[in-house]
Amino acid sequence: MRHSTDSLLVRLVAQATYLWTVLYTWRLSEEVRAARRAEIESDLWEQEAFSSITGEPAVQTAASIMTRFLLGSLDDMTWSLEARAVARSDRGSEATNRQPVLVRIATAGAYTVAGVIVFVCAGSLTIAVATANFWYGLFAVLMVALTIAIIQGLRLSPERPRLGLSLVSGASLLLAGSWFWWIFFTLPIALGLIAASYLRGRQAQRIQTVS
Amino acid sequence: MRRKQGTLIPIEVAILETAIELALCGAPKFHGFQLAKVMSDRDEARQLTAHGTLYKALDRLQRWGMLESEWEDPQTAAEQQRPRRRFYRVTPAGQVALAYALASEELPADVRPQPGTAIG
Repeated sequence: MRHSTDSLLVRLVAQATYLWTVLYTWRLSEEVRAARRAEIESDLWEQEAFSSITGEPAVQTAASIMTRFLLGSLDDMTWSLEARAVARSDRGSEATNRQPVLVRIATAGAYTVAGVIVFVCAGSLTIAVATANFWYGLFAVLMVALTIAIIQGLRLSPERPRLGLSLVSGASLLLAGSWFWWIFFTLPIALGLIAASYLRGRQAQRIQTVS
Repeated sequence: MRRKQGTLIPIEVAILETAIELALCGAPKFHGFQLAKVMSDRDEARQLTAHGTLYKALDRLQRWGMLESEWEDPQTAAEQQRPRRRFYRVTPAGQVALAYALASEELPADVRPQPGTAIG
């Protein structure tokens, strides 16, 4: 993406926002994906340019971009899910393909949790490398592997519900267990992930049955 | 925010109001950041509308025929060394919808939000 500012901080925040856009538009059709990415790139460029012209401090601009990104991220995810549902319904079975609100919320929540886990894993790996601690490194690698299994499981749930559910269940329970000192937080999250996977699979099966 | 059937939610009303104000000031076409800026100035808000909230609402209004959009000529953007802008414009249906929303009335059937149309 292009920038209209010299501030490294603003560039970094804008780049992170654009990367987020790349992420949530990943599985959309080429046309919708390109349009949303171009629109966000343009918006970021305009905000950078406006701040440069008005002499707004870089920290303030960066904070504004970051806030806009964070406050809108849930809407981004729900928009992405709606766009996918609409694309599917355009290909057939108009009414049956629309995901119920519960499935959409569960899926959005599951991807958010998976995203948080990825950040935690990245942090753990960084510390492991910095401190050259083998066990800490092994733990971080295990976390990364389990997170990948959860994401893959969620992705596979609509097409192959049993495999998806098995992957999500096994990996999320193991992950919850490995953070046993936070079990009151990790276990509900694991159960939420399993529920999201189950709901995604069940919804896909219902659509197949009806159509 | 939960929508009462046949009505617009506040962000959609704010977008249509701002769009009409811009048109009255001689700017019938506007882009996303411009809209966010004018909306924040108008409401004396500290923060611009979040990206996700703004573009999701613009997308909905466009699908319902209350706004229409066109991409800027690539040549113009290239000459000014910036990304292409997507310009929006309020439609007559959008003006009618806003009038009903401001009167706190349900939208008539011909301008009522239609679910399931293509997202773009």
